[in-house]
Amino acid sequence: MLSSCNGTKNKSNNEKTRDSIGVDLSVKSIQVERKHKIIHFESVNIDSIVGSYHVLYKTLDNGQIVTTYPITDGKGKDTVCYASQDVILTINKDGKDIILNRKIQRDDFRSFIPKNEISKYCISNFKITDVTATGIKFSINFCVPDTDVCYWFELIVSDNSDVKINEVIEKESDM
Amino acid sequence: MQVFTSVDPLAEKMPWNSPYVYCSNNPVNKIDPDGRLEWPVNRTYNGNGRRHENNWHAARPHGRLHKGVDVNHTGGGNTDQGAPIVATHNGTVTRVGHAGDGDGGGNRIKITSADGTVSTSYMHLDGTSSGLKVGSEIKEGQQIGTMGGSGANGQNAYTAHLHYEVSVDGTKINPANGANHLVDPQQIINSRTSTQQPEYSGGTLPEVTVVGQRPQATQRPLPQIPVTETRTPEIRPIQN
Repeated sequence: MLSSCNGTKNKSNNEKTRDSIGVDLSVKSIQVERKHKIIHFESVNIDSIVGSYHVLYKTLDNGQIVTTYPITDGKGKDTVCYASQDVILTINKDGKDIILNRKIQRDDFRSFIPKNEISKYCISNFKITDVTATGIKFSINFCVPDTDVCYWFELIVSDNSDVKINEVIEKESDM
Repeated sequence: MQVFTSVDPLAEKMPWNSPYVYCSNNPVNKIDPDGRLEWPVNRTYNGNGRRHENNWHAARPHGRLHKGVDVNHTGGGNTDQGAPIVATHNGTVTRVGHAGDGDGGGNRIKITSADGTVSTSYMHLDGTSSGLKVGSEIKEGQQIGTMGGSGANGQNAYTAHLHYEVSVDGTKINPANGANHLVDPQQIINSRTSTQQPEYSGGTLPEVTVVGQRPQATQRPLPQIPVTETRTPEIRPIQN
């Protein structure tokens, strides 16, 4: 049984021909496709003034899908598809754009998230955390959807338009 | 009104309900086929079923492991924010924490059984039920808070879900138990209680067979007893 989140049909191997009457167990003559509804996160659209900074950001679906396989009560293993999002960020200070419609996306964090893991994560939270004398700080995390299995980062945008990313080690609960 | 056809096995845990009442007369949102609760959330919320992410010991950044399972409802995103969170066993609140205090669990509650051997933790709550504090007595099925995504830095650090942990004898165990079940902490508590302290409700005591070995007597040195040497008088034949 094939399962697809992207709505495209899974091609069956029709081109293969057989000239014997033996049963070829490796080829399924009928492949059942189960389409899954794609869940979209709520879009965020923020327009805020913090200190001398005018910050605008919004989230947009980027066309990528993140898939999870939870256990649903009474149904067993399920497949759930989430639409992944990017953040579009604009920062203005004293009438001058420091950053204009800069896309913050998962690929910007490839140096922190292992290559074979990154497709499991999507942006879960993005918010302004602090303003300093030389820039503005944001918190951003990438999580496996509906879990607290996450990478946390601090994103610092300086007045000279430099963008710096620091990983933050989230303190585990002591309970 | 929905009823059990016999007395609820956990009826005495909820004396405010009739022992025949099923799911607190709320069968649309709750299910309790055997009178025991294993899920910390109701069966449905806003028409969405419940699920867990099956992520016990999932790899987390920097070699850490996920020490519980994440539970939520099937609507996705934050559609389950505010869903009731219920205690899965009787006990006492032993920890309460709040979002923004630096702990990754956000708004959180820990409940420990009376004998101290079983505890459960409920994290990332949107809010905790009013009046709950360390020492509060909790009954199985009692609502203790609502589902949220709180974390170390405040509310909405995560997509709404419940991080749920179960500890037995101080060791965290996998709360998931097969495809459609979670571990039932109250059953663990009950099984231990019945083993340690059989209930006696009057009447004839049950016959008890004890199987075991008589304890070995310890090998102690015999005490030294002073013995006075006595002489046996010499016996001589009488000569006539």
